[in-house]
Amino acid sequence: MNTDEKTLDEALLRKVAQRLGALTLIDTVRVFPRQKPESVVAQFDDVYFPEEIRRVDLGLRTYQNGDFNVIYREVRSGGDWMVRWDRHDNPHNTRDHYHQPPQARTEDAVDRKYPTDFFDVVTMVLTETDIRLGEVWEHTER
Amino acid sequence: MRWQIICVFSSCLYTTMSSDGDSDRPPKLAEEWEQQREKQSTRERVYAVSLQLYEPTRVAIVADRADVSKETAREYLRWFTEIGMLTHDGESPDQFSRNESYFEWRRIQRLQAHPPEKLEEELEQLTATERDYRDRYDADGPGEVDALEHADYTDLESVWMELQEWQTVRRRIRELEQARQNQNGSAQAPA
Repeated sequence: MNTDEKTLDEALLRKVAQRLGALTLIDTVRVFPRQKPESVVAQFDDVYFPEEIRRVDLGLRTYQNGDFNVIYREVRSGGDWMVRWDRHDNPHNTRDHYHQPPQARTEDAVDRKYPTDFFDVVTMVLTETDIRLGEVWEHTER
Repeated sequence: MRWQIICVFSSCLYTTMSSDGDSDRPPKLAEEWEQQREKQSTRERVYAVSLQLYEPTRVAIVADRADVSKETAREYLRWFTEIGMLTHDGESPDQFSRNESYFEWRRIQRLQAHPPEKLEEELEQLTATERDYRDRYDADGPGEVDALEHADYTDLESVWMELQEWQTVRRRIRELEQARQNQNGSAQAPA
C-alpha cells in the first residue's frame, strides 16, 4: 500500500533537474522548493505558450523503490489543465497508470505501461508534452 | 490514454517563426533530451543506470540499458562499488545494487558543506513545516494517519502524496541534525 516507507531518490532527481535545466523551452528548475519538498519543478519559458495560460510546469518525484509521479500542469484562470504519469501500488489501477486531463483525478486513471528507466520515462513525458504544446497553439490560433 | 491529436503542422506553433522553415523554431523538448543523452560519455550513461539499481541487477541488463559493452559496464560497476555507491550482491552472475547508506551519507555531506547558520535556518523552517503537518492531521507522524479519514476517494492520492512529503520532511530534519553534529565534531564514529 502507499503508506509504506519509501525514500525520495534525491540523487536521481538532482541529475534529472540538471538535464531539464539545459532544455531551451524550460526557464527555471527548482529542486525541492519549500512548498513542494519532494519535487523537482521545471517551469516553462512563457514565450512558448499563449497568454491565456499563466504558467506551465512539470513536477517530478521518484523514489528508491522505483515509484514515481510526474505532473504536467497549465495554470489557467478557469482552472488548471493537468495530467499525471504515476508508478505506485494503488487500489484502482495497475502500478503504472495515467491520470487523464483536464483534472487528473483518481477516477480519471487508466492503466499504462512505462519504461523501466526513469530517463526514458522522462523522454516519454516530454514527447507527450511536445504534442500538448502543439495542440495549445493550434487551438489558440483558430 | 495518450493525447489524441497529433499536431502535424508543428511549424505553426511558434509565432516568431520565419517563413523559410525551421531556423527559428525552438527544438522539441524530447529531441533535446535525447540529444543530451547522445552526448554523454559511457561513464555518465552507466552512472545514470547505476543510480536506479534498486534491486540486484545483472551486468548484461545494465550494459543493455546504458548502451555499452558488458566489459565496460562491469568495469564501471566495479569502480562504483569501490567508492561505495553500489554493493556487489553476488558473483556468477555478477549482480549490483544501490548502497542506500552511501546516498544517505552523500546527502549529509552536502548539508555539511553549508555554513552552520544556514543549517540552523533550514532546520527552523523544516521544523515549522513539520508542526503544520502534525496540526493538520492531528497526529505525531505520517504512519499514524489513516488517509481515508482525511479524503474521499477522489482525493486519496493527494493525501498519500502529502503524507509522503511529511515523511521526507522528517527525514531531512534527522539528516540536518546529523550534519550539525558532524560540524560540531561530536559525531559518533559508526559502531
